[in-house]
Amino acid sequence: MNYDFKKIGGVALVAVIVLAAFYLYDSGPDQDISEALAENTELSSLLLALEASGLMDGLDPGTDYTIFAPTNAAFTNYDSELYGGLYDDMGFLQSLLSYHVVEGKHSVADISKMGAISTIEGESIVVSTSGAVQVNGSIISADSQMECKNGYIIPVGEVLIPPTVEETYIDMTIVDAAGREVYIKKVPERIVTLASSATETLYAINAGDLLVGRDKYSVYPEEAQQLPNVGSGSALALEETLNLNPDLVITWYFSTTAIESLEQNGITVLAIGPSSVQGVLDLITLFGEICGHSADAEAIVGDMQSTIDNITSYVASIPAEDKVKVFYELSTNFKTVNKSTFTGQLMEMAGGINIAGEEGTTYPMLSSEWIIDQDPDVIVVVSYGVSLDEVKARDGWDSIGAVINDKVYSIESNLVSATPRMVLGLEQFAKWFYPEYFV
Amino acid sequence: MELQVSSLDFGYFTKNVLKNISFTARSGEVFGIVGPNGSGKTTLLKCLRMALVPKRGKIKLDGEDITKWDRTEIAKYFGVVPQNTNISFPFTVLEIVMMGRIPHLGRMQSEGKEDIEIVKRAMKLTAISDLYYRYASNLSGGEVQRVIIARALAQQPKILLLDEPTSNLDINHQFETMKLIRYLAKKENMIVVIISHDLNLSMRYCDNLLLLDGGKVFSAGRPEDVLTSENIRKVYGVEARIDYNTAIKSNQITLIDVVE
Amino acid sequence: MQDISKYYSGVRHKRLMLLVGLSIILFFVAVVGFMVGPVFISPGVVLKILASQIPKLGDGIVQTWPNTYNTIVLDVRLPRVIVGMLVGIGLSVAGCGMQGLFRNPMASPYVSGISSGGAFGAALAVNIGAIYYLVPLFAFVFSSATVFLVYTISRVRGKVSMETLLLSGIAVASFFSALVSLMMYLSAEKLESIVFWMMGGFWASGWDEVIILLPFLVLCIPIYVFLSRDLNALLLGEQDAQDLGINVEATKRFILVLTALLVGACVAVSGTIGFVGLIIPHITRIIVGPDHKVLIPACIFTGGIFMILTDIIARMIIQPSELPVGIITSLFGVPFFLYLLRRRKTSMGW
Repeated sequence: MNYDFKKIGGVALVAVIVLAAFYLYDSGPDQDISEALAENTELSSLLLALEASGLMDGLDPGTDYTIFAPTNAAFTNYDSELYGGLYDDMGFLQSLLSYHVVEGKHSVADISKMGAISTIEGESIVVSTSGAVQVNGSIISADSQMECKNGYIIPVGEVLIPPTVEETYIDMTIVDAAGREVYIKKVPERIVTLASSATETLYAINAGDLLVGRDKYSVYPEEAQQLPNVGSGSALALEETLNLNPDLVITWYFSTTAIESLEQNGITVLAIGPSSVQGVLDLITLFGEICGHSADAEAIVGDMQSTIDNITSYVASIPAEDKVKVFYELSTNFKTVNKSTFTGQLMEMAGGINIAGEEGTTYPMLSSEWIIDQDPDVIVVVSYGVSLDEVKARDGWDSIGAVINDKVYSIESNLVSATPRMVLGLEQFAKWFYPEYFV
Repeated sequence: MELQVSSLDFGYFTKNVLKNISFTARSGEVFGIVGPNGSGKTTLLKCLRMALVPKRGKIKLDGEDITKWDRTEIAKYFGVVPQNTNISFPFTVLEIVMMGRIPHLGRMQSEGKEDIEIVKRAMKLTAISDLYYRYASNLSGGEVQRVIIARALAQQPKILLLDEPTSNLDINHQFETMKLIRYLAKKENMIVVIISHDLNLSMRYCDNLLLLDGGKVFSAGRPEDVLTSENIRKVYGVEARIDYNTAIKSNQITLIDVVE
Repeated sequence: MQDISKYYSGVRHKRLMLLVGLSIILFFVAVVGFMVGPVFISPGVVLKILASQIPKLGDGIVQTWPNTYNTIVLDVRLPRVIVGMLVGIGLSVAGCGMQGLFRNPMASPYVSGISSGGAFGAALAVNIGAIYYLVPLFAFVFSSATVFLVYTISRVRGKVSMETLLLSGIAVASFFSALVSLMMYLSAEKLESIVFWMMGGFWASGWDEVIILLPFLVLCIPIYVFLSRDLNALLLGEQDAQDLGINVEATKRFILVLTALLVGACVAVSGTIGFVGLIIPHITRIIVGPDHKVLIPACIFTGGIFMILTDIIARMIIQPSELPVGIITSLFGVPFFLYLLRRRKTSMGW
């Protein structure tokens, strides 16, 4: 019986080897990629797409390719809302499909040894082998790979999105300053800004090239003045704005009419209204994300934060009684700001005690005699306000410390408003308030 | 005193409203101006006191040309009772009558005893003495008319110009007013020039009449010579009968019908 | 029956007492104006500070208060109260004159477009970046020029119809308002101050303003008193006035020139404070009657009283912040005016 068993085992082994060899010879390389695709009902969507895009005919018959083949299910799950319909734009379809094609004959086993693979368009697919083998996060397995005469077809469960496409799709919902939910799908390419602060911020994060229009107040930086002027948020030239074909309009939160009329015309509108120093920093970050300039935004925010920290840490060390009293004047005589305003916050941050800080009205108009009685150490007048000589010449003001010590200054209005330049304003304040420390 | 008007023309632009008017009115005489609406009566009265400047012609007071006089000078000689004065402000009667003293007072001169006496007399003549403290704005039309006459009298004018002073009055006041006017002419020796619509009152109380038609003098002279049935027919287009009425010792006009 | 002479002197006496009474009120209101402010200084100290300025009398006063109080009382409150008083006087007398001239209750010193002209001048000065003391100059020049423009427009064959004047005044005012709006639209924040200027107020009034205003008042107000008989006669109608020996056209010219100078100066120093020139003459007329011989002097006092009082409220109500006084003049003046209007015994005349 022992003998018999050996014999049968030997025959069986031979038979298996022969069969296996036969099988291997038979099922493998006698088909090419297109034939294999055409036979596989699971990949019919891909085939359709490849044929429609003309990519199939574009492949060199003498070259080997590895194709990551999204299954029909993957195509069903493809987010056409986000990226746009596959067949809406042939160029897009081609570049999307090209991202699935790699030169050379690579099995899953081969791939698992690479860190990244370069597609025929030169873009790279990330390979990860923690757990199952994944390309761009989609699992591939040797079980389902198909070897063809001229390469491999490796089914994937998702349509692979090229990083250049992926980056432009930000898919964000923002609650804006007007309390509206604004959905932003992809990085805008044609921005019209109706808020000077936004214009300035966009240029600061190197996203100025995205701008196609501006409001009349957006005059900084100088390049902004080259852009077409569409009036202002309160008096918008709607036709001109629409004619610029913007994909995003940024406006102040209070320009409600503009927001409404733009929305009625199907334009995405983002309302802003930073009212604090933190708000400005957050806005810069937000704009960085929206415009795909996060790195620039972070760099700026970092710089600003360190300037702010530098000043506030010194200010924190000054005893309350040693802090300077400040009177800040707007365009009209004795009209000032309370602590709720942006300028008020900057002054406070720079260690000044705003004599009108606690007033109930946002822009109180103080009595001259009260200012004299408060005896501010520093007087700052906004650039478009009255002249410094006029301030010094006011009746009775010659008894004010700031006038006696010639600490009456004029500040550029844009340095004390909600723009990236606010740190310059903050520094300026700090230098005027504590010249002995901030040289 | 003699008010002499000669060849007076007045008009706006090229159209003449008054054409070649000449007449003379003398102190102590009530001089009436009659004529249909639009015949230029009120315009003539305005020209007399230079409220409207005539295009041509002369207005002389005792031979002196008044066209060169200033307003104050004219107001010292001419007292005016316009057709209707609308006193809406709460001035007292006394205040209104006292305004008649304006031409006689220097700018900063305040009213003296003499002025008050003159005003009192004017009010007495017009029988409004006991209304002096009342607001003129609360008075009846007739009372206001008398207040205005009193104001004109307070000017101590040599010439009194009245534009239909009786039109707003009830009949007893009409008589009183006409009697006052005659009194002023006869006793105060004024020249009284009066416009009236009432042909009978004109016939009875005027010494001389000027009948205007279309800005021209149609007829002038004694009332009975001016207001003839023929003239009335021609100027007014109304058939009238004129009888002598012994009760009033004057001609009486009875208007019969419009001429067909 | 009471004797007319007695009655007449009685009326005169009553009027004199009324004027004396009003002048005393004005004096006290002014003193209150010096006393109160967002900085509390006791009345005694205020009086001492004031007294110390009087030669001889002040020598014996020893200063027991900080120097700032001197500054506040003498350099801030004193000129401010005086400017308030002068502007109140100017506007109410000018308003009184315009109402008499137009025989129209809606007439105010601003009817001939003077305020819009002034606003335009000020806006222009601010817009071309003129030095600050040019702003009142521009305001003055343009407000006065507006009056003459309107006068010239409405003059036909040597005579000015009041209706035409009123209408062309409104038209010219709208025109200038539009120009101001246009400038504000074109140059955003720079002209924000114009808004406040148009609301009017005394928060920036100092001795300079007193010096600017005083000559105009000293020059113009006596002429109004001079013209009071003419204005009385004009209330009866232009023809009646002329028959009483008034040179009506000359009076119109005079009043308009006076308005231009007086109101132009007021507008230049304090902006266009509404309501005072319209309502104060009415209120005064309700109190003293229509006779300009007493009405104009009375307007001097009531205008001063009203303006000082409203300015006290304007600077005290949310102190140390201030409200534009124009808001207060209407907010407090209108109910008072309506109250008087309801309970008056005689017709106002219009």
